[in-house]
Amino acid sequence: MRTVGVQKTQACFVFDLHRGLPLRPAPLRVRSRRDPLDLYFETEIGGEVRDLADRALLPAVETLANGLDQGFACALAVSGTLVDLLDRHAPDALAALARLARHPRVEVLATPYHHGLSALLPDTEEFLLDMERHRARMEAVFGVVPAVFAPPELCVTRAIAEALPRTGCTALLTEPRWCLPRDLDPTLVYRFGPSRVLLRHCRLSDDLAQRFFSPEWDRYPLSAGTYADWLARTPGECVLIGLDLDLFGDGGALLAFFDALPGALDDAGVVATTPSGVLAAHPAEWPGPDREVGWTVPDEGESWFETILQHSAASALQRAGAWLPDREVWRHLSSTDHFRAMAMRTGGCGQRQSMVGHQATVEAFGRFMRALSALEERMASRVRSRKAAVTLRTLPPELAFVFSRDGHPAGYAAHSLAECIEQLTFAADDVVAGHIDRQDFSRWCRDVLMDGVLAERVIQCRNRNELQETMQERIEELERRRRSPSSAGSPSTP
Amino acid sequence: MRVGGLAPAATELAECLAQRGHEVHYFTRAAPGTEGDTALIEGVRYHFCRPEGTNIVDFCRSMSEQMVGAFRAADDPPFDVLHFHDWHAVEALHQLQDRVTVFSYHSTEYGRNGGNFGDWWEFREISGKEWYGGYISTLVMTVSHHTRTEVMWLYNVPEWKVTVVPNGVRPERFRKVVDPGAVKRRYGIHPLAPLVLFVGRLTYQKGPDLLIEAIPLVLKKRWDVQFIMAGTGQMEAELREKARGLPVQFPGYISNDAHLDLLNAADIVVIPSRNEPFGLVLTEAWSAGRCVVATDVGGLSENIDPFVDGIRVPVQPESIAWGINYVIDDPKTIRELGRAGQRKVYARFDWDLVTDAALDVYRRARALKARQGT
Repeated sequence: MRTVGVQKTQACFVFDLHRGLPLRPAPLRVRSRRDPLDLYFETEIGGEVRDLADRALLPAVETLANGLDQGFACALAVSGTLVDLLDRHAPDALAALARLARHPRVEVLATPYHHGLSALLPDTEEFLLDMERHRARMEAVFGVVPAVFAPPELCVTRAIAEALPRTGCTALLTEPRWCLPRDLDPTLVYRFGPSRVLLRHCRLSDDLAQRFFSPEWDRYPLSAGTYADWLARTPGECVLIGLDLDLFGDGGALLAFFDALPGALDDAGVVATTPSGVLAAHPAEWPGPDREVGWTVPDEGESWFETILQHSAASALQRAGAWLPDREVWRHLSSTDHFRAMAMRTGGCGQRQSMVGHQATVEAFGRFMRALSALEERMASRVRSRKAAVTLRTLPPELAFVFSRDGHPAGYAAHSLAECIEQLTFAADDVVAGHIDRQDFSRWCRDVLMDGVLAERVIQCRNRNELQETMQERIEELERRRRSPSSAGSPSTP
Repeated sequence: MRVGGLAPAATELAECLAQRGHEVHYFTRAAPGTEGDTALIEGVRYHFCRPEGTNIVDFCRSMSEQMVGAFRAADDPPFDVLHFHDWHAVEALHQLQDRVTVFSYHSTEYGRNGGNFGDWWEFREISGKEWYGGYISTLVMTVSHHTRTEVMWLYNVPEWKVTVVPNGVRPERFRKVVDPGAVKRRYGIHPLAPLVLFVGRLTYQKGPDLLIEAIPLVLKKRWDVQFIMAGTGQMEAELREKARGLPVQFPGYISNDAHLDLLNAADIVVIPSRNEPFGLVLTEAWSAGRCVVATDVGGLSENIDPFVDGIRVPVQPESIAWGINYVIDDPKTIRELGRAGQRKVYARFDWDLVTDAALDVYRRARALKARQGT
């Protein structure tokens, strides 16, 4: 179906490429001079990276490169972690990716170096630092300077959107669910302050990321021609399709689809372009003031985290980020794949739908908390009061305070003193009373948090308010003691 | 919390009719504490009676007599149509059977007994009245096709006589913007823990025991799921005993506000009924945009499109657990099913549509009576 005399639909395909370091089941506890990352992460993953390159990356690059010759265009958001891994274990794949990235119809996007959720960041300085590192890496490897920001999961907080101009980016990609009002038309160009905003079209993205692979879908198997036709019929200024590049590893069907797509787009009268191409097609003063967006995502990023485990891990990570004198390991812990693994199903769009059992999510959570706990313990010796840092640290699940009623878990557990205060705000009366009667809080403070002073104070508490106040006071005391002379300024960088 | 489908359905139908300019008189039992014999509420003229009796059957006989008395006093100019709801007023229907009458089955005694026959005298007495109501009234209304078939089978009501008029709902009354996390906190539940809600009488018909038996099977898959079973009933003590050690709360009777909060904060609403003529809980949950897991019975079976706007499962604990497990870890599907249900409520159960259907039955009843008279 060729649309003649009508403005052609612009379609923009954005691929997200990331692979984080997998966590060890339990961190190594050796005092050696080895790379600290090695203590927490499986760093010898050459085989897996090679497999990723051979199974998904190289075939995808080849298919996309062929498409480019036929007028296709796309954008790549490549995390710094992945570039490092490829550089080390599959240099040929990195070279192929670099050739693709240098093509004039390919745009390289800015993204945090470690693919961390911006909602997790303790401060915007950390964000700027991570972006700067990424920009330098992209320039070195691909020879381009990104100008459009594609955050992991396309989830942006207001604070990050406000800081964006300082990174040199002029536009950002996100999803309607993070914006206000919530029912924005994803096919239009919006604005936030000086930055312009493009939105992912979730339904059309999921058609490729999830339904494409599902034989139960009534449109299965989806052909490139049908899809191009859907794009052509979508009114608006552009359709942004965001996909994980991992999807190409799921057999050859998607490769064949993208092989046929450039021709099909051409037949349907759809122009493939890049985010910058979309913005260039609309003059700089476009859009007007009525297209200003707001953000629903608070800085805690609660809405991204849908499970208790994710929430617990994210708050622990945020608290650790606020004091750790060296954040290098912390940055790798902020990678989104750790958090994805804590949900039984991924809810995001443009991602492969993965289903795992509850046990797997609990294991992923356990690995994460053990690593964070060990990291905080190790760093404790680098601040003024080691004891204070140990008491305030994150605890692995086996040391957590499990709230319970009649010996049955009530459904939540505190993995730090701060989380205990938070959970005391909603714990049921009989649960709290039971623990007070058995002096559980006091024993936990003494034996697990190693704080005899707090244990003595907690034993006097008769209700939840007293408990919370006592614990909060102690946290403030300990935080003052923990503050190391060197961490007064910005945290040290690697 | 209101209990049962009859009272709100009849009240709201009356209000809708009044809004359209009809004169509506509503004869009912006075709620405890009500003063006076009549009242005008939302355009509907209420006539209260104060029946007495040592058992439910005598009580309803006394109520019917008082209703007829109040009716005769108000019958000038004469009423065009008399609409009787359920067996309680069948004796009044008997005395007024020469008029244009419509008899509504909101449920049957057989159904309330969980789809079983009983051999005690109340069961026989009430079933007899239900048969007689369907026999002498001009036309009959049921709330679902399922109940229609049931009364045709149980009471030999001829097919031509029965019309299905579903219960309506006012979706805006059940929608409330709440912070689910905050509501869960109030019940001592982690703000991100998935919450499964049951609302209804804790009686055999509503199957709360089936849900409790399903809980361990849900926890096997995911241990952070929490359950709230709101409502009271004769099974409460037994259920509490059964649920010892499980993450279940029984808040008992809850206020309208608390009901709204819970309904809008829950992730899944489960309706494990053994028999459900219509299932107002379903349209209420849908109004709030909730994902519903319900048993494949009666009105629930009729109104839920499986996997489109809810999950429908056989009446057994294993299946109820399967239904909950199917959606519990998938927030996206939960939202989609809830939204689809909400759309259906607006398209099918809006009071405007239901009032049209009821008026149509009234018109046919009048025409029929007129033909019979000539």
